[in-house]
Amino acid sequence: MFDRNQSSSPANRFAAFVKRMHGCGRLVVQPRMGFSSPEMMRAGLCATRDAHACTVGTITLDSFTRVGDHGAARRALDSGDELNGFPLVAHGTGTTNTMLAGLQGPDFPVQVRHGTALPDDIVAVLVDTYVDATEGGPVSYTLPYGRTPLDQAVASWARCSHRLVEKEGDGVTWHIETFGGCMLGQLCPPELLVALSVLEAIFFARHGLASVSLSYAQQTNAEQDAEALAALRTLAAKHLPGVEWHLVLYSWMGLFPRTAAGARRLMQESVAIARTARVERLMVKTSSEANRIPTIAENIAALEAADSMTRANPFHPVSCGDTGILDTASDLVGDVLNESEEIGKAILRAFQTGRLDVPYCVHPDNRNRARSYIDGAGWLRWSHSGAMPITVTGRCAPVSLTAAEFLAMLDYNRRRFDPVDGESPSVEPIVA
Amino acid sequence: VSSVVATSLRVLVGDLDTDQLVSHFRPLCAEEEQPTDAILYVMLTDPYADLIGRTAVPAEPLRCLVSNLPSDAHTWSLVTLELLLRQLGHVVINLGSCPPQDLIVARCRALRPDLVVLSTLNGHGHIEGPELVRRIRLDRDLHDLHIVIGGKLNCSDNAAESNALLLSVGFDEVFDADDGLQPFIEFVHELAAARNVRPEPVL
Repeated sequence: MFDRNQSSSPANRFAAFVKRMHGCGRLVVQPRMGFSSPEMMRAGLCATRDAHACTVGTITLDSFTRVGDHGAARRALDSGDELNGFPLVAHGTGTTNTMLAGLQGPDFPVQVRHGTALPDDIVAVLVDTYVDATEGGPVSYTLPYGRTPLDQAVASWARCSHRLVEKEGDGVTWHIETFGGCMLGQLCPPELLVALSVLEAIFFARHGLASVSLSYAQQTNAEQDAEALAALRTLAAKHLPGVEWHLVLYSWMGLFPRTAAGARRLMQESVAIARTARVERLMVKTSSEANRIPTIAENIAALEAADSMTRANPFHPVSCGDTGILDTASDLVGDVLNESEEIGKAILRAFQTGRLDVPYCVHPDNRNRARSYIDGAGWLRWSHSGAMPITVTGRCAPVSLTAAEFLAMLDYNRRRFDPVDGESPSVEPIVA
Repeated sequence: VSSVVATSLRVLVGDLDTDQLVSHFRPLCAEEEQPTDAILYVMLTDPYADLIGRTAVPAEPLRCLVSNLPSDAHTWSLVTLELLLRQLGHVVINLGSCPPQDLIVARCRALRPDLVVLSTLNGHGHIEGPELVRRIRLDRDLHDLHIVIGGKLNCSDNAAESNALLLSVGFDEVFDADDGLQPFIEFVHELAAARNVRPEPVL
């Protein structure tokens, strides 16, 4: 087991642990685990803590709690229906703290993950639990996941940020990770992912959070991802003075390879990107993701496999150039910041005017004029950029897609990583 | 063609298997004449063109309401279904993810669609599907609305029990992982063909 016994004096336990491990040359790996019963949830966290890997714990909430239907979560608990995560509000502070008792500390911090556009109920319970890290954002938890008006989400996240900051003191400080770099999980080109991640981090910083992390989700080309992460680091340093921050990479969030070999190849690429870009934390998926919610054992196996890949030598870095992701992301961020002194207003105006526009996002407050596609080298490109300050360069950008073409894009990474007939994959992965 | 469809398009069930589609793709632009960023994989032939072709220009397009269930945030299947139904020549309104139950029912009442397609992947379909369909069927004006559901409908590997439950509570059809998208396309085709003999919805 990993030696966790050298605590420093952290501003925030979660961030301090990640920083300390990064200093030791370790990449922190994290599952996306959540179970309805407190016993299972505790067992999952214990197993994560005891894994042969450098881990932090995760409590992922269920989707009834995510949409604020705590009654439905309560009824499911009462009737023994299995939920797809931990219903934090239905369980309440008492049950949650009993579940967590003795588990958490400077050497095993835990993050609550939820995906809620209006997180007031969740934050109201969270502030009295032993947890001190969560994630989300007014844009990234609203546009992909429902119909909640963006202005309500911006107001709610501002309220919740203040509520967390108010509770600080007595050695507790809060950490929030932006989910902005994971918008829709796929088919959102990196320039926009980086910009949204930075904008949400600025949002949290301006609402008083002193510790944040910035997310980015692996897409369809490792070189492009490495360049995007470098851009994210540059813009975070520029826009977050006086704030403690780190980067978190999400292993591919779209359709997962069906085979264990494919899942392993994918994870190898995630780790190579993370190491190349000196990312501090990695969100890990399991080989069973394609079929169902993974078991505890499958989660642990994936964490340990990822951890051993992070220590593999020799390390072959992903090549990383500059194709202009930084410049474009920087323009996007600058444009939004010019909209208003107040970051929440600036973001709202940018979506109203189409200066931010997420491709394929059907939320009523998104213009949905922008379109993207995967080119022959696996780079995610713009075919239409709407009103965003982005130049479309691909000369063969599709005018409109058929359902089958669209499916083939969603399926791209599967084809890239899954072996065909036990042989090599149909599309060679960049990292062997 | 049908075998490709059966194994390749599992939108409703969230498990896409398009390996067999690869042979239908090639770079649109030859590498020697274009930079790599201009190469797009496009279809030479649409592998289910035959199946779609039968309904490509329906005499009267179906008006379809595509939606997820209230607790489910997945949208990719909704976007794909919208593209598919438009390709089939029908009219689509996409409610997107996490529509409140009230909104789905209100849109059903206001729009009187010919078909409601619910696609869900988060495993709560066996809980939320029955609640919703019972409520819609209780509405006298909507009791004969065509409502189908597909996706990952529970949190386990065994879909049979949930599928039987959903059929018994009032869905016209439940689309299962192992059957691919072909049954859905055929269902839509039959519905479009039968539309002329059905009583017109009261508008």
